[in-house]
Amino acid sequence: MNKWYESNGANSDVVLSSRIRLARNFSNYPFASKISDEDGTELVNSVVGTFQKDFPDEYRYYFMNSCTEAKKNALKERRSISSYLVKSKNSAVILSGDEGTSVLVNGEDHIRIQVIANGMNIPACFKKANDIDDYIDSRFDYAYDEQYGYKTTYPTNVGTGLRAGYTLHLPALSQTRKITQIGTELGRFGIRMRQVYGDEEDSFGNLYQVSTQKTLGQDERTIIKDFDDIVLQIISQEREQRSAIYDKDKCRAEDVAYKSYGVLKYARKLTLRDAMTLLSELMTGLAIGILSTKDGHNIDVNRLIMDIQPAVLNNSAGKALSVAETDMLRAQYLRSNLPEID
Amino acid sequence: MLCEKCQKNVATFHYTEVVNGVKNEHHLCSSCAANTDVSYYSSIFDNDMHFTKLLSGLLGAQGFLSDNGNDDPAVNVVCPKCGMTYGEFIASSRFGCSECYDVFGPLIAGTIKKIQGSDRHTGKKPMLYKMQEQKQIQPEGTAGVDEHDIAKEIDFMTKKLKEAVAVEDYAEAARLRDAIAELKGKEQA
Repeated sequence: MNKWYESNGANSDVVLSSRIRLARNFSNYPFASKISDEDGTELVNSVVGTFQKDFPDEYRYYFMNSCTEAKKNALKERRSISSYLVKSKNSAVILSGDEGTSVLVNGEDHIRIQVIANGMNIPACFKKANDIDDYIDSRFDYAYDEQYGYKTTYPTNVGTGLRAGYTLHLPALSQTRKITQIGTELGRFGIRMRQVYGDEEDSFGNLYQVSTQKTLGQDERTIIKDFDDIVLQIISQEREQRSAIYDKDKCRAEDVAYKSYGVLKYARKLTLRDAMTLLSELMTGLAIGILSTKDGHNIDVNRLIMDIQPAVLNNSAGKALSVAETDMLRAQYLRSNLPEID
Repeated sequence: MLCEKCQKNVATFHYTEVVNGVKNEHHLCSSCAANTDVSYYSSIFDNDMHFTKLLSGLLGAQGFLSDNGNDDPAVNVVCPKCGMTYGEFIASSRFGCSECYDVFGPLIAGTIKKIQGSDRHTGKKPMLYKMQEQKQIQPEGTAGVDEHDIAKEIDFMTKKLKEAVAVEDYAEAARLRDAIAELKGKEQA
């Protein structure tokens, strides 16, 4: 089965990935900070047992207390579990075959359903999460309040328990410094924007995470629709800026794209900063059609970015690497995984 | 400089994050830093710390953590089900169980509204609640209710509530009680 990051997504020239999360708790168990080990184990066994009975083949089941540290870190790097679960003993994760859907049991909330997809696809992610939510609802008693909605551990999730998020690649808007203004505007709509690497003065990679913050006062579909409308505006602004930059100096844009590819393809040592900076240039070049891959072969950006993270490289080497060794392995990985270009 | 999390050890780990164009500097000691995820995929998505801090700040400023905090009657509130104290709740900004919402909810209602812009859930409901709503007996002429109709409806439901208690149908009684409370809220609004 293809993993979620191996498939194509809509608006993938700007949107790298989509993510939905629903937080739920049961009424008959104390929440995360107060639950005993005994109750935690009972809750986990009961939820996992129910899933295993009804879906023996669709999901894989991992109990945190029987996972090695390496396995837990691998699950975390693939975004299947949160850092809370890595540290927790009495938790479990129910993971779909494509790794795009995971149900975190007895983490910060009793249940956190999360669905990730490539490109811009939050409505589809929500549908999947909602179906699982209905299934759990039919088997267990959710903690729910007429006024406040779904009761969550954090008051900031109460209501829908929903969070929707996109990882965006915004090289042109970052370059024109419009990005700060956009960030401030998004804040007014209850959307949070965070740069993935670095800060205002010193950043690289041009990756941004935007996510919804409000969980009361609007229903799920309105939250998602409004969020998508706003993200679509960011996408069109980014595209406009990209064309403007290209039209201004075509030769320079082409030079940058080809140089980036050349260095990524032939370097012997690459720091994370260098690799991310060059990948960003390459992604931009591919998106505006300056260069194209042979046979239309897709560059799987999500996978590349995941696989060149320091912890992942150490993991795949099976031992602790020095910084220099990590940089060498990163370069080697990119050499063999970047497709040929025309 | 002390670690912002534990307030005990010297902060040796410093990082900056930019959220909505606002730069936030964080200073942690090495042991708290080890437990804080600042890597690529840590993401604002899973990080509830930001709002949590905001909440503790807002709530703390209201009395408990200030000098005259001991005068605040809320200080003595404890959740009977899970034993969460008000102090614990403010410090961690986390509910300990389902019942904590009834205990601490009223105390932080204003703060929730301030942070979220609303204090009412209008989204999905669990199946059980949906079914109860469908079963709900609608007295004639409740469409387009005005104040007069609300008063009539409260009367009607109060009668139903008494009937439900008489036949020991406590689930129905509880539902009616809540519905009446909601209507009374509407009436006053």
